[in-house]
Amino acid sequence: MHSADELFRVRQGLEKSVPQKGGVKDFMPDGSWIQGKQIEKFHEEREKVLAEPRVQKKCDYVHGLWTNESRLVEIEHEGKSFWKNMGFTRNGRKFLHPEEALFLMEMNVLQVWYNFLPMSIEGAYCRFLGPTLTLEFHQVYAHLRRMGYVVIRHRGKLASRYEREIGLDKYQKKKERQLGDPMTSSLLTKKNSIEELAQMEGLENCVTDKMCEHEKVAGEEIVASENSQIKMDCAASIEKAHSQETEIGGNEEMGSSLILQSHMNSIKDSAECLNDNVTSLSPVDDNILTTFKHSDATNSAFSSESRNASGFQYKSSAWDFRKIAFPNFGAECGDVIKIQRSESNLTPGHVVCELDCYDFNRMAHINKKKDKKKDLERDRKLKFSNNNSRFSSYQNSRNWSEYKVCLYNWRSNNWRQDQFPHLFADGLQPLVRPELATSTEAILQQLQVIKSSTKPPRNSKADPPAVLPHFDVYSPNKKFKKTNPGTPDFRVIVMRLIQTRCDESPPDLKTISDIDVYFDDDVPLHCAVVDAGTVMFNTLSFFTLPTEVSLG
Amino acid sequence: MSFDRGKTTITLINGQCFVWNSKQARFLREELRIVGTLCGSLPRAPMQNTHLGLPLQLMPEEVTLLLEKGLAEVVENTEDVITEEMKLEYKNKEKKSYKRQVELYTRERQEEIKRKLPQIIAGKKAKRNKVLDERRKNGEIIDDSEFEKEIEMTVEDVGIPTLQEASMLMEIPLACDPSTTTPVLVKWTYPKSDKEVLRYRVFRDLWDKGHYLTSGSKFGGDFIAYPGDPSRFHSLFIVVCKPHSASISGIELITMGRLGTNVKKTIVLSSVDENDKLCYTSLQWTGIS
Repeated sequence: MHSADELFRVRQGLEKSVPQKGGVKDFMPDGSWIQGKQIEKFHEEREKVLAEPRVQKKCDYVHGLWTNESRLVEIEHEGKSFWKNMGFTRNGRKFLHPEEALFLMEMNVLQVWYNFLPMSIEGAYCRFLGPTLTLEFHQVYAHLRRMGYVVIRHRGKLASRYEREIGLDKYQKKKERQLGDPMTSSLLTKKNSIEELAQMEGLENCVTDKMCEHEKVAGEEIVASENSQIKMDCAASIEKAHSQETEIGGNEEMGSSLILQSHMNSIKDSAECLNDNVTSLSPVDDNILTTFKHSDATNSAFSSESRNASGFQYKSSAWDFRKIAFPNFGAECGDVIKIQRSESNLTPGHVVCELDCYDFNRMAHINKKKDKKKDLERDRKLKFSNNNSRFSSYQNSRNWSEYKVCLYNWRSNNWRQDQFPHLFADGLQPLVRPELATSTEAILQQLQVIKSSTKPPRNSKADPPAVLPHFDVYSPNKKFKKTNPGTPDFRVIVMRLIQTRCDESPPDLKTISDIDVYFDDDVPLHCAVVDAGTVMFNTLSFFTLPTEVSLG
Repeated sequence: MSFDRGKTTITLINGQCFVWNSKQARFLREELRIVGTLCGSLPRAPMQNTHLGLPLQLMPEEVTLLLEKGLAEVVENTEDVITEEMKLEYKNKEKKSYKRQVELYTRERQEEIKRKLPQIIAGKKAKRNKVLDERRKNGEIIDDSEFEKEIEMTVEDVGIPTLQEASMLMEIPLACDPSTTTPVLVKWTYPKSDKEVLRYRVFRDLWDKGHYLTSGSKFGGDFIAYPGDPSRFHSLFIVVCKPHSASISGIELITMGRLGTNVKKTIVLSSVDENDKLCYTSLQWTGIS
């Protein structure tokens, strides 16, 4: 500890200049005096700068308390600067994660006390670092924080793609908020799982409670969300109707009729909803249809999966989409699509389906907008292209697919296979076959030796990957809210590089694609490699190489 | 501190080695050619990543070298049981510091007042004249000589508020307080596996030859070798350690060659042969044209 005199002197002449780094470097030591002098000066300055103490007025320090059991630092009064981006509240008390506390100590903002004595930075390193906080984790955290980013421990998937699209991610439900809370996610999952088991055993009280809760939540959501009115009502009303049919008599407490009325009002839309938003209903999944659990065994659409390996609690869906057959409107089976009435009545209560089978005429709904001028021009150009023999096939076909088929048939019929016998005789053959050289794109495709792996399709119902990112990083933003941070600007996985051991390797393609599929958003994933104090960031992202294809 | 004994104190925290003293860090670099990596924030400019501060993190090879040469010792900090005595001692220290700060503060203010005394007097005069002006405007007859009257003031006349205890200066110390922690010597067991042994052999040999060596992960190798202090010179070699009998694929050679060319450094493939001698092979990519 420095004496008062030294502290005073430091405070007086507080220099903010940073010592010069780099500059012009020499290539070889030439033993000259001036070189030696420069090096000596550098070391002197370096020693002085490194030895400077961290001084602050007593009232400007935030007072923190470390407890070994919780491995957290508790603070009573937050400072002016950092509480917006760091720390969390639990049971009305304010806490900081150990890496946040260590960072704030190095920033000369927080003073941590333990056993009535103040902690030094070395002491903090000794106490904070451990199985919950590795050195690499802290170094990456500090590195990003020093650059100015807002860094939070990874909170899992907060909103599905659908929720983001309809703007529901702005309104995080209380339970999800709790789940996202770093402290509860580890401490309370066990408790939750016991609760769930009890519910799944079909206690009616639970069901009714949950239904009421669901209505309340549904009510909130309806009040809260602006654009999603119809869709939300749709989903909730379907559920309501469904529950009405199956839970006959058991529930007098079907809840406030007010909410039910509002559902009924929009039920006119629900039939359209079903037809139009066929694809959108499937992502209306775990997150929106909340803790609504049917204990009814007759309900075949009960989804049993509500928990996954990592302990994150997902609300189970009342619908089992594997058993519900949605009609395929995109099928290429002509203009009229037959829709069968499904066994499980999915239409809302008072809507009665009389027909067993309904003919949906696609042509009646097809977009009959006139062709744009651009397309017409392009077609015209093709019409007068060089190959005269194609003219007839062009005239005979009604659309592009037919024309292509025509062309292919013409080619395979007219092309003489024996044009280049010497090329195709041996085992070593050209990659491009003349008869298949229909367009530039076709040629390029045949020339492609390295097959690009296709990015796996995104699936919002995917299980969380085995390896989750460690941090969610946000750009500095005045509007940042700890309780509702939104989608991060990028996510970081921390990896320790030990060159003599191979047990830790960078995330492989499967992990990266799993993460990409699971999170279902365009947030890049960075891999932070830490080796002996130096942090390096690498990004591994999917992109498709563009193929230049011109008309021809 | 053990530095008085002439040995550098290396603290082992969570499997990594740190040096917490700037004098020792300088000694390591200037005299012993051990560079290490700074990994803390710099107190005077904490929100940047180019210049970092203590602690200095050492590579395991560096630690083994220092131990072999008898120039350092690896310790672990064990916490003493905090007694009431210690708490009292700390409180006393704080009180003492506060008293001293009050003295220093008062003295500093006095010096400042002494320096600025003419300005203070001028200020007071202007204020008094303003008041007299007001009175004149209100109808009172005041003699002009009143305006010219000098004000007699000494340093003692100016009041100095006492430094509040809340405003006293405190510090977050860097290293552990020796009165409350006991360092305990720790057995250092690096290197163990074959790869580690090879790395250390190469490190030691290159260090003996006079190079400055740092971690090579920035350039995709095991070490980076500088002819002189890294602050002053560019590095010349990227050292890659390979077992002598290991085969290197064509792609690996091209990778290394290309990398070295792009950063203007020579790749040095280092290994230990059957006669337990170190052999180095440098790689140069000449390109196609």
